[in-house]
Parts: sequence; C-alpha cells; structure tokens
Amino acid sequence: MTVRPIVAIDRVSVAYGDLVVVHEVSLDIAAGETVGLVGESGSGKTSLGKAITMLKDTIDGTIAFEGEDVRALVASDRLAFRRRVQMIFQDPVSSLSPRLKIRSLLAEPIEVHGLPFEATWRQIEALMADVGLSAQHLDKYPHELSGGQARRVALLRSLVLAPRFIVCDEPTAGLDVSVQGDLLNLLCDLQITRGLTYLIISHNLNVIRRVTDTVAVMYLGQIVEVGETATLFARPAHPYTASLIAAIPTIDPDRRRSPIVLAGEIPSPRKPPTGCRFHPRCPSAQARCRTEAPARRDAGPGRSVACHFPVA
Amino acid sequence: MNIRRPASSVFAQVWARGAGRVGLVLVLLIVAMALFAPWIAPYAPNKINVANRFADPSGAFFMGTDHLGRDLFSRVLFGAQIAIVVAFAVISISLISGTLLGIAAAYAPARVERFFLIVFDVIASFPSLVLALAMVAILGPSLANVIAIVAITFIPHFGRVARAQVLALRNAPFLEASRAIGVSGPRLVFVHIIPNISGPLIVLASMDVPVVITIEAGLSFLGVGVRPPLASWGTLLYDGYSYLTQSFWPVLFAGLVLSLATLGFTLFGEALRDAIDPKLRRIP
Repeated sequence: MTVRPIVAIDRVSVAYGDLVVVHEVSLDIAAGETVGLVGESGSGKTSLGKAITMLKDTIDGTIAFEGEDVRALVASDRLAFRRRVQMIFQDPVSSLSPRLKIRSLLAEPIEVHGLPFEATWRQIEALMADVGLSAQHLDKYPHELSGGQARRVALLRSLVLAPRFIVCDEPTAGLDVSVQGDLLNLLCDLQITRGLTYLIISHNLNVIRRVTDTVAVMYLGQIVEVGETATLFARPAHPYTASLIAAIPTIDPDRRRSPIVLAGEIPSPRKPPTGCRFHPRCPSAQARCRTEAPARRDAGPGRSVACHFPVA
Repeated sequence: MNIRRPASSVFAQVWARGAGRVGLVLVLLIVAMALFAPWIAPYAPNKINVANRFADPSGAFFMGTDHLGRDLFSRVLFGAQIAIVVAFAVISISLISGTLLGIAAAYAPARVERFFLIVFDVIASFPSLVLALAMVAILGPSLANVIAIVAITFIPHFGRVARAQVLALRNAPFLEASRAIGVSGPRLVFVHIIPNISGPLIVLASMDVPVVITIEAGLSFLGVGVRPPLASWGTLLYDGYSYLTQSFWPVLFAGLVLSLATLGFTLFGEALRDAIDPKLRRIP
C-alpha cells in the first residue's frame, strides 16, 4: 500500500500503572479500509483502541492521524479531534448514560460541539430511519432498549459528528446472530456512503473474516501477525494465528480442521515470557524462541509476521 | 447502578410502609407549622404578659404560657420555623458543597485526595455537637453562624459518600463513552456523574435532617444557638427547664414536638432509603 495511512501507530506502549498491556505495537491503517484486531481477552486490543482515540494515554511511541500526532491534535482542538475520530464501546447499554433519555443522549453531541441544532437534529432523524430506530425510542431510557438498539444509539451519537475513523470495540458482542448481521451490514453501508475507515476489535473470527480487509493478530500486548484478510485466513504464518483459525467453529465437514490445542493459559502481562512471548505455548517453539524476541518482518505484500519459524 | 424510578413511585413506596406514612405525615405537619406559623399562631411569639405567666393549657393558650407569660403554642410554631430553616439551610449547604468536594477529591491527584480525606476525617472525628459548640463559642452565637458551623460539620458526611460513589462510577463505560463524544468538565459532572450518585446522597440528606434539628435545639438549649428572644425549641426547653418547679408544661410540649419532629424525619428518611435503594441499609 503506497497511500499515506489515515492512522499510523508507531511502537506504541500502553500501561495501567506498572502493568504494560500494549508493548511497542506498530500498525498502519489505510483510509477507507476496515482493519480487524483480533486476539484473546487481555491481549490489549481494547487498550490499543482507546490509545488511538486518546481515551487512554500512551507511555511510549506515537500515533498519527492523517499525518499529525494525536496528542498535538487533542491539545490544539480536542473537540475537532473528537469529530474526526470516534469509538463505539463494547457494552452497548452501559455505554449510554443511564439517567438520560435517548433524546438527550442523541442531542448531546450536537450541544457539546455547538452544531446547528435544527439541521443536525433533522439529520439524526434521517439516520434513525436508516439504522432502524423510530421516534418512539426517543423517550426511553437506555435500560429500556435492547442491546442492538442501544448499539445503534451509540453509533448515531458518533455518526452525527461525521467522523473519518471509528474504532468499533466488539461491535457484535451480546447481540443475537440476525442482529449481528444487520449491524455489520449497516457498518458496511455507512463505510461506503460516508467514506469511513474502521478498526474493528473482536474475537469473533467469523465477523472479522466477513467484514475486514486487513487483520492484525494480537498476543499478550504485541501484534504478532498482520495480513490481508483472505490470505491470512487461508495461510496463517504465525503459529498463534494458525491455532486461532483452527479453532473457528465450522459446520462444513469438508472444511473441518484439526484444532491446534495450545498448552496452558495466556501468561500475565506483568511477567511476560522471555524471548518470543508466545514460546511457552507454541507447538513449534525452539531454543532460540526462549531467548530472542522475533521482530516483525515483512512476509509478502501487506503481510508481516513476528516469528522465527513461521508455519507458512 | 440503580434503575431510574419516577419520583411519584418513590413517594408511593414511602406511603406504602406504615412507618413511612407516619413519618411523612409528621414531616408535612412540621413543615406546615413552620410555613404557616404567622397565620396559625394565636399570639405574637414574643409578646410578654407577666400577669399570665405559667398558665396551664386552656382554650386561650393551647399549651399554656411560659415564665414571661408568652403563649407557648405560638412559640412552638415559630420554633418549627427555626428548626426547618436551620435544617434545610444546613443540609443544602453541606449536601452541595460535600458532593462537589467529594467529586473533586475522587478526581484529584492522590496527594490532594489524601489531603481532602484527612480534613474530612479531622472534622468527622469530633462529635458534631461538640465541634459546633466549640466553634460557636469562638465565633459567637447567631442564626447565620449556627447554620454555617453545623453545615461545616456535616460536609465530610456527604463528601465521603460522594467520593466513594464516584470511585465506584469512575470506570463506568458510559463516562468513557461520553468523553469519546467530547463531553468534559462541568457537563460530565453535572449531567453524567451527579444524577448517578444522587440516590445515596439524597437518602443521607434526609436521614441527617433530624440530627441537625437536634443539634440546633441542643446548641440553643446550651445558650449558644439562636439568640433570644427568637423561639427555638432548644430555647423553649431551656426556659421551661429553668422553671420546671413552677410549670412542667413548657418542657413537656417543647420536648414532645422536638421528639415528634425527630421521629417523623427519621421514619421518613428510612422509608425513603428503602424506597430508593434497599442496599443502602448499611449507611448509618
């Protein structure tokens, strides 16, 4: 990819106190692209998403949005940055302020950003129809909505600011399958009509495979593999990616893979293993993996792997 | 997070409990006495009529008269005014400033937070009445001083609960989502934080009302509360107590009204607590 990335993450680390949950992660996201970020719980996906949206401070590295450091963007005009970069949160109902009616929640971004109220509210009403909300929802409280409806309200609150880039944290978590499908279609439609770029954080690999162009795989605070979605799913190079993909449930007997069972649990980021962080659980670990951390190397167009002995 | 309930249903729940109903009636009665004292009172509360001192209750003087022949019933009504004014002024001041200080403490850097907590602890380590007594003795008794001083002694109460509530709420996803939208500063505090911590604070406020009424009466009884001839229930008790051998009616009626007021506000507060959030039973 030769186009300048809309988001450029360069060796970023994020910590909670002395607990480093994201360790020197680099990732480029091209404009108009949908990038998936996958990995187990606790691998640092959400923390990375919050770092990009400046909801969580980084302890090291830089994040650039459209070529400018996000810190500088927030420092010079916080609201302008918020209008360009948005985030949709994991738990739809509890990410809406519980004492406010939907009407106030939807009006809030207009008031905070001082947008022209009448015109913007009409825009919201039009969008509501698009996302499948009706006027009767306006006088409800968040806890009176279903997960899917709450997620749409959260999405509307972001969309009204006309962002360029949205981080979607587990956009399908807690929704039933038909609603998941609706929501993903909605996100895809919006991407086309509004020229959006997405970072989709999920551990649902079926979702990631369906909607993303590029996938980044995180393990214990590091990105171990990045690749174009179809090739990465077809030929995973990192043993961890291979085990993740082998674990996808499938109902097609011809495509059934033998699962790769990993030993043990994800280690604590407080005391990460030496060398390659994955070596204690890696089926193809060798002596070198215990001592030397592999750098992420290019492995074909748009592809990079952090492994001494890639499987493909 | 407590599920939002419309106010009418909170009152319906207070009314549904026997104790809550008694409390509510007593509270309304005391408030009505205070509000309508000038119209209900048969005599001016400070009108001295020495010829009529120590009169027993009668058709002309419902509760009899005191050592200066002043109508006790009228003085009890105006005493309700003092009690209600002091209680509501004190609770409003300490509720508002305690809440804001508590929120500030929760969001302040660790050092500042510790400083807030130490100040709260120092104030709270004295019994309210003793602290108020000492401070009024220094600053001089007056209605405004009593209100200000008692309010200060109650700030830690609200400050600590507000801080604890904010700590519990601070990582709530909706606060982060609000920040992501661009919400910050006062709007975050007043629109998103305060409505979600208000339940326990309102309960606490209602439970503190009878305590403040008792403290005000106590200070006035000890002669460091409101200045005579203003009729505080504490003053009435003191005057009655001084002349107990001549007539026991003033002590009896002033004490009875004070007890009923305290009882009423306590029952009401407890019913309100149970209606808003039964989990709060642990808070004293």
